[in-house]
Amino acid sequence: MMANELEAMGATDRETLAAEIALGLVSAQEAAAATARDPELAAEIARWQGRFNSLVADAPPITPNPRTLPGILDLIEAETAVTTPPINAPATGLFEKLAFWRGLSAVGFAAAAAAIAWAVLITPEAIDPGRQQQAAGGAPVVERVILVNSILPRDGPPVYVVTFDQQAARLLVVPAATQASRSGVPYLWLVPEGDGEPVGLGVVNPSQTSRLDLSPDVLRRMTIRSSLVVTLEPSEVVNQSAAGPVLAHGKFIQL
Amino acid sequence: MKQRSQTADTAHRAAELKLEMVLRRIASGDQAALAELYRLTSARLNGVIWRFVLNRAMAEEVLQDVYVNVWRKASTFDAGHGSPTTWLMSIARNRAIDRLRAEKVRVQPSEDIADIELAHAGASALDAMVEGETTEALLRCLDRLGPDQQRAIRAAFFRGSTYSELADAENVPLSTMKSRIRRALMQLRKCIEYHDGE
Repeated sequence: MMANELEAMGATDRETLAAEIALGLVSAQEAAAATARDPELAAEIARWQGRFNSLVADAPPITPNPRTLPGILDLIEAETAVTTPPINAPATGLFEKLAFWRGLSAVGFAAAAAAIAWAVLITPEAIDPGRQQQAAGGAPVVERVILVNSILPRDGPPVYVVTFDQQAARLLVVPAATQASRSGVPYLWLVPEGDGEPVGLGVVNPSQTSRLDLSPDVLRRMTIRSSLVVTLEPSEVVNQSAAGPVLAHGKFIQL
Repeated sequence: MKQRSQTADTAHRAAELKLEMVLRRIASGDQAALAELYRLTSARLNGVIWRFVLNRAMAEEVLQDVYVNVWRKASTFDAGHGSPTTWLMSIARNRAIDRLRAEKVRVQPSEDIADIELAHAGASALDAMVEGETTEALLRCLDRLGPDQQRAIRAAFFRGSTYSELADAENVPLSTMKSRIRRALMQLRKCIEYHDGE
């Protein structure tokens, strides 16, 4: 909805506006502007959200896959680990800047594009006793070790945290900061050690977790000396050849 | 609401209060609290997510996204602006819709709406996790709207459709769709207030 339309909506009462916002009919920007003008509107919006939730009130509970909770805890632990650097972390200025991580407020993309942090899961020793018990209980467990790395150009904030789930042969790519919208598609590449050509791994969503399944060939080449790069490609069809500018890159580091 | 026993209402309020306390702990960075929230709410939220997405893999990813988002945003939860359940369900709905739209899941509008109505046809047991007071009133009042109004509201809720998408789907001018929905929302409000005695 355009701003002038909102103005023209003088006839539309604020409760109807709250309902429109609750349904998502009004753009996020317009909704933010409306709640800024009228802070009490938030309660009204929540009230309508509660009402509309009635549409799914009859949804029966469905027990989630037992893998889901460990996966969530891995992801949040990766984020927490970035805020509290391990003792033997390299003494770069990066870690001082990582406190922003918990805030996750909008960060200009140019600044955000400067670096990338990884959480890499390689050694089973890192599984904590609780997880080992879960493993003994038969539930699948995602192995993980937390690692941080940043590169480019110097100490920019991380753009993505990548978790390598060796067991499931996939990468979880979690955006670390809100990224400004731009034309193009962020695409993740594996740069193998040696002279190998970059291998396209897939599109990474700038606003939510992406899961990329890894082929046996990619798994074989994903070594501690390989690295990952995110480029901005003109379209999702990349033809296995990076054409766009590098947005972020990082190396695997094992602590 | 009026039919609900006082015991059920008390239990409901106690459950919300507990969720609120767990959210506070999460906001302070307590991972165990997130695991507790998950135990308390994941099956319910998963069921809700299943109403939006159409396959297991997608539902699982959305559920994971929901709790990672809760972890990040717990400090923004404001009990003065609604219950923890409403907040959690809104996150679940938003993440599910974002995921659907990212996948460019698009079914023909007619099928889309048929799916939605089919899903609703199974409505029966009211879930204690959702505010019982508003559930019955909303459903009853929605039923009193015209079919085109109901369709539009359901499509907006389940698919995150915008005004212009709804106008396109129904092949009517944007202004027609806007006034149709706004009229529907005003009727809904009046009807709900009457039922709730608000």
